[in-house]
Amino acid sequence: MNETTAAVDDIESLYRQDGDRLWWAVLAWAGDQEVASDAVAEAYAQALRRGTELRDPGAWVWRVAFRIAAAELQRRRRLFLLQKAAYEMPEPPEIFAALSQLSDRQRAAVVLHHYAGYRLREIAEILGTQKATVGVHLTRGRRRLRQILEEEDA
Amino acid sequence: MRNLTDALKQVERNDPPDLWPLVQSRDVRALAPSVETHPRRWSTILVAAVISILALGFAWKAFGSGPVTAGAEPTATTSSSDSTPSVDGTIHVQNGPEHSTGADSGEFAPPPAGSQPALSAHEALDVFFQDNPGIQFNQSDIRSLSIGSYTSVQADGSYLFQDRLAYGVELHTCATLAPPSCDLWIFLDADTGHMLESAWRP
Repeated sequence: MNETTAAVDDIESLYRQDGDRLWWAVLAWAGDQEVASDAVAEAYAQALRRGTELRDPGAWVWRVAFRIAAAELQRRRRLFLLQKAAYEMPEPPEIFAALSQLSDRQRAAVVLHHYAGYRLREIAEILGTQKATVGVHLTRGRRRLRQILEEEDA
Repeated sequence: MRNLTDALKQVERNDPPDLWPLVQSRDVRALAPSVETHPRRWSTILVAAVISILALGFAWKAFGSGPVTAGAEPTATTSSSDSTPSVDGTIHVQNGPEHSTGADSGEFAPPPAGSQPALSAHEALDVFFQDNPGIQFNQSDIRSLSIGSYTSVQADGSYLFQDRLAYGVELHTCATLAPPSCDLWIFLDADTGHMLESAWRP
């Protein structure tokens, strides 16, 4: 087996092991299955291209997938007034509606910490920001999310 | 209190697609460059961008705004950026859906004296229509077209754009995601023509 084939196999193994979790995390953050699928596929495709260049492909695809999803959301946001609504709320809609009430950065911090299990330092690397900044967004985000969920339960 | 991790696990009710065939089918060589930063690559891009901007500015000064070949015919401007009027006073807009938390806001203010856009309003509109072939509006939808300085603040207080020289296109159209207003604006970067944002006026 040559080096390129081994790298492809490694990336495929990584996808089989972690791809669903990444897809769910991007979905929770973006609230859109199409964005999640495109971002995750694109991230793994770019990882394939890089092959053995990547020191830690597992962390790399998370970082790239979130950035690709962010770029797509930004693009859609710029056009939102001029496009027709084609948004289909994923299941169950309640959790996505609650998450949508957080800012992008709060939602990312909450999803990456409470769903994906990352620590602050790791989240800071994925989001390309400072650990302290992530801490602020996480604190505010989870306080807000708890408040929303409690109101739903009441 | 509901556990946040348990609450977030509910997203797994959505069946993830098998994306591996899609990953393999993508011609990764044709994809955009990775979002990973690379100092040498970015410095090359920066130098190329500066050269392009200088060349564009030279060409604009030497040959004028050039012919307009496509796009809407705005009602309140001519083909020269010099004659596009400055926005009259400061316009306040909203640029998030009405129901979103802490809807983002924008301001379109008169530009600094002596501002020199690289593109005329017509050229900027041409770029916009090239970028967004699915977007259409009629000439009669355009209420005004002006040049100004656009600033957009996100809900968390950070700037998305700050004092960006832009063309503001005011549209009267309601065929959208139904904000509580039919007074819509699109803001086009006056140097590139690419759209900064769409917004509505409360």
